[in-house]
Amino acid sequence: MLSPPTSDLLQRLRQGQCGPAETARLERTAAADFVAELRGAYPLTFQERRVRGKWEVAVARSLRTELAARPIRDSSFFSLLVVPVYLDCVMVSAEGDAVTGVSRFGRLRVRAVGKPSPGLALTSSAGYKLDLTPDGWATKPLPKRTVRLDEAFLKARGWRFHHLAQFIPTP
Amino acid sequence: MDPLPPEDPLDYIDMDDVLRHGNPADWTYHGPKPGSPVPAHSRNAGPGTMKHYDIYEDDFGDEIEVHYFRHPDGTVGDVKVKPRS
Repeated sequence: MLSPPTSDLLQRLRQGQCGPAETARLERTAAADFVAELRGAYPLTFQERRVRGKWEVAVARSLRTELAARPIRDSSFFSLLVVPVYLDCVMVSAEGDAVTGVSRFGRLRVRAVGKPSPGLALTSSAGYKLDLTPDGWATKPLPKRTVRLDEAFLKARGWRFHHLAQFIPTP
Repeated sequence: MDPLPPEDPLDYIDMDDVLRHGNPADWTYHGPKPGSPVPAHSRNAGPGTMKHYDIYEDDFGDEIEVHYFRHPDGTVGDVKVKPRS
């Protein structure tokens, strides 16, 4: 269960309407406390990494599957793929114990790809990010995008594959 | 003792920005933004820290800016991606 201020912050972030009240609250909140609270409502952690003083955590409220049609070359038929989709995603960045970024977007679609190297094609829906830059806080829109990231890079970045094991064979 | 090599700010790009701009290792460096670097005066930047604004082209052909602090010991902090301005 999220506290009313955190729930309000995430609601405003979904609309891209964060202001001084939200940034002041983040500055007063320890990153560990903020992430612990998020994990209570967003139980799926799909990425987490610590590098020197930096900590980043990505969580989702749920995971569901969808069917995606894929054409078969030289055929009028198509095949169906089961595609995992993380729903209601929040990604947090911190330096030391200070939150330095929070993003929220509705969906993250995950598809295994073999080329150019084994990895995942990750399609994230549009959203917003509240970001602490060297010049202060800023809210920026996040466009819908698909990126292909290879397995070694994702592992180095702390990607958690275990949620996907039932849908995508993983080593 | 030799000093440590300076850190690469691209190692610190937030994962949500990776999801929008691709693997930073594949970005093309276009050099520093004119006027960069400048001395940093933020409260979380100690004496001698410089504020850098570097320009890259991401996986989608878009120009973006990477803003960060470079501390006197070569480490980086507050690495953030911003749209080109």
